Amino acid sequence: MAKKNNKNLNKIYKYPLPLIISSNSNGLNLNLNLNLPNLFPHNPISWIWYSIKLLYYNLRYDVPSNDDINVVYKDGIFKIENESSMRKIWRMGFFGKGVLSRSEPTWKERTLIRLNLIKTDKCKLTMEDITRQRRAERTDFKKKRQKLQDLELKKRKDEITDEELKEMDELDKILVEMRKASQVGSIGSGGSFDIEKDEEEDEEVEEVIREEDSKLIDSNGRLIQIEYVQLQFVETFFLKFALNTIKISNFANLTELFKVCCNHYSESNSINPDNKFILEYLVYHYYRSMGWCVRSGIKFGTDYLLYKRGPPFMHAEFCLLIMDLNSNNLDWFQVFTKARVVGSVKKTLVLVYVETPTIEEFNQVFYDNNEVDDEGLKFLKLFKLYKISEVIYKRWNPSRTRD
Amino acid sequence: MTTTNKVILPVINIDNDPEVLIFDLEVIKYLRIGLNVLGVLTGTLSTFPQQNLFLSVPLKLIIWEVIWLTENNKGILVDAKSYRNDKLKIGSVSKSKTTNNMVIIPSTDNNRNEELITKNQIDIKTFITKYLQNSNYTISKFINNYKYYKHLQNSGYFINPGIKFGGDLVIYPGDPLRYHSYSTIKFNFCDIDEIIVGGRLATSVKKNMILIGYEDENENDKRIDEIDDDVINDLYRNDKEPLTFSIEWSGFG
Repeated sequence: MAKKNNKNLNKIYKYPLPLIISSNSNGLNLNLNLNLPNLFPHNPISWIWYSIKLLYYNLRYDVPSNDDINVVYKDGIFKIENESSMRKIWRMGFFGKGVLSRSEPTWKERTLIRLNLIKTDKCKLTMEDITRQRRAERTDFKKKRQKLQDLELKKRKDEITDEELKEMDELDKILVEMRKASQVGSIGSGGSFDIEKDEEEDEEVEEVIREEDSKLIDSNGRLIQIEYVQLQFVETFFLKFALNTIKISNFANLTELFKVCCNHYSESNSINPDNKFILEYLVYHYYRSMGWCVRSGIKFGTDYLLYKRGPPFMHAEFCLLIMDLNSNNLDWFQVFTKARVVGSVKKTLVLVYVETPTIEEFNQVFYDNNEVDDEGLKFLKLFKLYKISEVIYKRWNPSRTRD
Repeated sequence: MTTTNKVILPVINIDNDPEVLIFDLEVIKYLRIGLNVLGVLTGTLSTFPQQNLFLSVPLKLIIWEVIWLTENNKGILVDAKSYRNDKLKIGSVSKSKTTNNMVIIPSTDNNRNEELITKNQIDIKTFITKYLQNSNYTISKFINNYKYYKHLQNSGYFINPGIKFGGDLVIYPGDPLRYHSYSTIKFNFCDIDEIIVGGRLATSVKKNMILIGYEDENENDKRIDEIDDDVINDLYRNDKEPLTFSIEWSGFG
């Protein structure tokens, strides 16, 4: 399931979460204790030396500030609009989705290349380009293979001409090469799909910048960023509650944020223990805390996808479906369909059952005012009332599995 | 009303979970060739008890097919058990041959007894009432679903149940033995989640997904235990055609 690996990836995605733990400006881990001189109580000079060193470290290496990602809540959406924050939140833990991109916010990069506003070398392709190219290559390969098979059929029927025989040989050779190329994993080699041609087309386009494109460029000739990153509700709450690495100006405290998230899923003002947000958040937190990269599974009709490390490294291995024990919200048609879709993309469907506490138990913790000075502790206590268990669901076809 | 030109739809289990099971090969042939009604073969072949691709009699008719046949006066619901018992009483059933502990019955029933058919006829109202006792349909949903089926059946499609492909029905342009299906049908308009999975699944089996529904879903808040003439009239009434939308996924490499 591993994708084509790139040494660069390890460098770009160095941090698994948007947290930097005590590091100097070079990004090297620094153990303060080891570098400090020994302290001898009977020797005043060592005190001075120690203080100087301590001061030096404290001045030279400032504690990295983690709290510099600003999230705004607008029209029912959690947005990150700052460009460096957008990059940071994606590169450190793969949170959010660029609203004009597949996932990583690359709209600006792509548009710069499309409008030829920066000179790029050939290799600088965006992820979307690579995907498109790979797909084009595959269709091309399939077309050629089909043609070869047609010719082979003709040969068997003895209806083949010499010319076609020659063509067949050539096709065979090309296909072998293409197969090799795709195994090695180099992009753009082998097949007839070449980047050169693409660039020529680009240059033709460049001569006339379309009217709608010209609106994207400001008076200084720079491209205006119109993309923002949208965070899921669970992602926002995770970043605030579990990591505390974001600032949300709209909300005074965690409880307020929690209430808004819960009310997004249910109309009523009171929060029930089986509120869909709570269930979704618990499952999200559960898998995040076990080291998985959790992203929305809407494209396969499930609640979440689990990635090892992250989308650029591996394909998702598991699709999660949250099952509420109290309400029976899925019928067999839906389960069948989802299982078939998940199976067809070679992933495993996991049903995640969340056991909820009773409303009394829930309210007792939620409205307990003793813990007001530390909201985090209150939510910790609240979430500990829930239990999570997992079941793997597999579609099994008896007539295909029989030997 | 004459019963002679109607096929017998034998109902078993009328009191609890009624089903229409057809053993008569001639009837099955007529339904399939003459009326485009497929049903589902459910019997296992005695020689190949493990395979499940080609099944044998009895043919089970799904509920929509039963209603459609009754509505169009093509079939008549008959209580299979009492009809047969009555026929045994008057001795019009030939003695079954028995060989090697197997009872061999003729594949078609040649001596219909119109009098007994009328006597053991089951009203469609009773059938639907009993059927709905075991389901969680609401009346209005039931009526709408039948109308979607009727719309497709009257358009000349061959229809199979569609759970295999995540829909409510699968439609074929001709007999499924000769044609591939290119559409799965999903009743009523559904949420985005179902559109995503439905569309993905349909595309991966080279079909498109068709959503079928009424713009204004007419509500009928009757309880399911009171199927009366109004409900049957609602079922049979030909009002406007349902809206259909087909969805195909693009962007698959």
